[in-house]
Amino acid sequence: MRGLYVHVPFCLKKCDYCDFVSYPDCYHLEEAYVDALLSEFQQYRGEAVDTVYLGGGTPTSLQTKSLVRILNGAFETFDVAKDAEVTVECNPKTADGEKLSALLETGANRLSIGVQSLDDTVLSAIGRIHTAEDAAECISLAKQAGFINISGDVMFGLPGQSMESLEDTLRKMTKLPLTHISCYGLICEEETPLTKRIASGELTLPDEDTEYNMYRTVVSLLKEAGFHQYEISNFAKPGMESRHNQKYWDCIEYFGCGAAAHSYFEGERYHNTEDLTAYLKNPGEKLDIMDIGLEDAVYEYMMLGLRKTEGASKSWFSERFGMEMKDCFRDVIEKYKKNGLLQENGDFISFTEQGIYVSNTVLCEFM
Amino acid sequence: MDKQNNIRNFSIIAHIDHGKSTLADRLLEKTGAMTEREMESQVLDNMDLEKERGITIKARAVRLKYRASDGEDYILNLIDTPGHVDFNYEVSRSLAACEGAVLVVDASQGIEAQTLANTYLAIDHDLEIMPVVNKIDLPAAQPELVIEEIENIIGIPAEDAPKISAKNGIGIEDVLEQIVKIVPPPKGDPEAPLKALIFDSVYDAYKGVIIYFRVIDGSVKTGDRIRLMSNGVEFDVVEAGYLNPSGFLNSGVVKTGEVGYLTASIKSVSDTRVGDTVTLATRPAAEPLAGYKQVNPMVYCGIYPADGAKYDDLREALAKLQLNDASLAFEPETSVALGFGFRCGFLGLLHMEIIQERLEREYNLDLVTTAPSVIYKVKKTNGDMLDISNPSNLPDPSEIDYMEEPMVNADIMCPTEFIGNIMDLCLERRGLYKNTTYIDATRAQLHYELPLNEIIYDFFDTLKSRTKGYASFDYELCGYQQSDLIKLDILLNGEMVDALSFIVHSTKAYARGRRIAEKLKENIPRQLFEIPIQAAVGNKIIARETVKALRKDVLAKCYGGDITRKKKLLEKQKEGKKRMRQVGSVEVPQEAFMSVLKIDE
Repeated sequence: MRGLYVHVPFCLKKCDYCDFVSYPDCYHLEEAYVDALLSEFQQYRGEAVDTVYLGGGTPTSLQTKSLVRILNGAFETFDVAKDAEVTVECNPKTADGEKLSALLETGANRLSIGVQSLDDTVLSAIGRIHTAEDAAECISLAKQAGFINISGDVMFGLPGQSMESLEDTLRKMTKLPLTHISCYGLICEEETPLTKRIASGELTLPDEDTEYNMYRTVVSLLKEAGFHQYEISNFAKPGMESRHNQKYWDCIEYFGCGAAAHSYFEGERYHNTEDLTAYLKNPGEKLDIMDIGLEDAVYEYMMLGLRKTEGASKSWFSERFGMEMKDCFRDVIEKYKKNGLLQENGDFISFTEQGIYVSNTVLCEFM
Repeated sequence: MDKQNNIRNFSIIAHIDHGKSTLADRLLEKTGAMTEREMESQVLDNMDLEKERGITIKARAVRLKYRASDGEDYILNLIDTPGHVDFNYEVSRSLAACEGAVLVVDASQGIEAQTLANTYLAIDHDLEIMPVVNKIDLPAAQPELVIEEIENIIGIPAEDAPKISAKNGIGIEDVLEQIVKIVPPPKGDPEAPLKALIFDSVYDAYKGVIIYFRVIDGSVKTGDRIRLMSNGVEFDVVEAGYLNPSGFLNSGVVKTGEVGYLTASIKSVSDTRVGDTVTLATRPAAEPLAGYKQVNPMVYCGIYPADGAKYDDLREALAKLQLNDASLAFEPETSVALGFGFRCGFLGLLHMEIIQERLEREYNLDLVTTAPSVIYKVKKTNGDMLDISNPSNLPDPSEIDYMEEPMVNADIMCPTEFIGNIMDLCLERRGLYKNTTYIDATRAQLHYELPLNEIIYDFFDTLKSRTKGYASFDYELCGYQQSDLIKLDILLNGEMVDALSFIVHSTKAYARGRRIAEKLKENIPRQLFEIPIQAAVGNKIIARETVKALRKDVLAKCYGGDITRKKKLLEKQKEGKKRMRQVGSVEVPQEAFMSVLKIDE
């Protein structure tokens, strides 16, 4: 079944590394934005979904009544499964107990909290508005409010971040009431304030070898604490994997609503305008509609499927595309199986631990 | 009809930037050859590349009409000369077609090495030298000093030299008057059998080869059957006439002393070599004109298409360039690392650069080139003598008795304060000091014998940078010399990369090998495994660097909004990989091959 993603492009302040579409100081448009969202939902009226994901930006920076309107709007318009996973992204310092309780009451059952680090020096270096204490506080508030499924985001390869700092953050994270941890290596996107400060020499990043060691540390430390890796950057307690995000890696379709949201629906990928004013004026407009043909679909299936530790399923491949994975990619699969970057496990082709670290180099050859 | 006595054939000699083309434009303008609107600036420089670099590559000629102060009408034939040392022979043939040369000297810069070289060349051809001091409008102009310099160094009277500003149109009339007065009219016997000197030939898609020539004796007209004396090939003249500034004027005949063009349905410029003598098949001259020689390439390099599928395009482009450039040589060669390409021969470094740039610009080709090489003579132990221009073809050291390398006589002119720097540089380049001539209190000319292979890399750039751009440089091949040469190989992951091998003097091998290994390390991206880069002489490794294995190349985040973008990112990465050369198991980017060409040691 398809999923629903709702984008909330509002933040109190943009973090220095962020290149997502989000606008600080636009809360005067909050009500109009919710109106626009609800009207966009209408064009998908009656569509069945079993995951809802409210992402951003900072969804929890909206007023409680706005969040409730959005969630209720989604439930009323879409045919949302009873046992649906409903996630809300949450930033420490933007959600109090009351707001969190209201979310739970309205139907949210999963929180994804942006912790990033539990080292205040690192947090301020990347322009986060909260402290380590705020983050820990937020997680315990979520727990108190009654959330069981709580995920925390962590980043590594950050300027000024040492291996010790990362290990310390991870150890503390595993002791907090979390069921899921996403752990991302920093990507310096063009034109972000962080990238500029690094280019100017004001900040320095850990070198490639350190970053690599950090990633290995993340994987082994979380594994020890009972979080198994199910995707390049995602770790979960058994059964607590993000169902919504898995749709992306399984090439299952999704609706994207809100400014800058991307959709994959009936074989087409398209997205909404990033321009807030334009979106408010015409929330239903689809841009850059791209028909995903067989060739693209096959490649996307490998590019995304191999992100999962489980790997890409041969049987699902043949069922979906009417041809054998091995017929399409025999040479590259054999080549990388031979040098230990890919492995075959029953129905699945997957990256080895070594392979994950250099997966782009291998994925190129599936094109 | 024009009288032979009223013809003046002349060239303009000048250092790059001293204003040759600007003066040519002014002469054209002043003689009413073209209105300003018609005039595209600097008409004599035809190719875009020449305009960009401000230099003239191929000779051209133009016929001007001038009514002098004596009331007579004169025909002035301006024969343009290439301005660079690579084209020395072409310069000499252009000069041989003249009776006089206008020597343009920059009033602020004075005489340069190249000016001197070309002036001596003109004197060798018994030309009347007519000095002109240009750029008198510049604040730094010192025309009197320059005049003194001309008299002292070249030893010709210069007190009457016109002081002009070609840019501002000052003194142009003086130049024209002096040309009429000083340059002698052509001698030559109108009744004798035809002798015409080819000083240029170009290929035209419609007319075939157009020969530019100067008639020494006799005359040539449409319908004549002509013979080229070096190869005996005969053609029937289709067009014969003059070159007006606005284009060809097919007058049907070119007479004694005149400069003109002819076409005769000739398919290739290789038949119409510069310096050859044209005569009539029906009434041939007994002897050709002196001075013909076939110019041979001095510098070679491998040229490969970056995309192997473009091999045929490259061959076609080279063939087209060769139609107009008989001195460009090429033949197919194969490299393990670079695939199919061509070994190309050039007159010199500039010529090589020009051809490479034209291939890239005019034919839209993406090229990988190998390090330039000279022609080495290899005496084998079995007595055979080989010419080697591709290091890969060098026999095994056990079969080599000795090797010889080409040497040049180099003249370097510079302000005296830089003499020390230049001596250091020439010493580093294995130069043999001959002597120094002082031009005046502040400038000197150093004479060196240098191995050609030491100046084909970056000598000129280094010379310029060590003399703050003041030094000028000229060289001429002076023969071969036995030398302690060895082949340096580069190994990637244990496999030899033929395209990176080169021949070097044994004392230079270590430093060069180390720098190349370093350069390659900078330019070869990390790959899935560690890559040793080694420089080797025979079995001996003399330098080693390592490209560490790629540790991390992974997209941290890939959710719904990222998929299209990330797909493009990987596509770009794949495109980059496609542009790389597979050398054994190593992927080597084009830039890595090019990076070893510019090495400052």
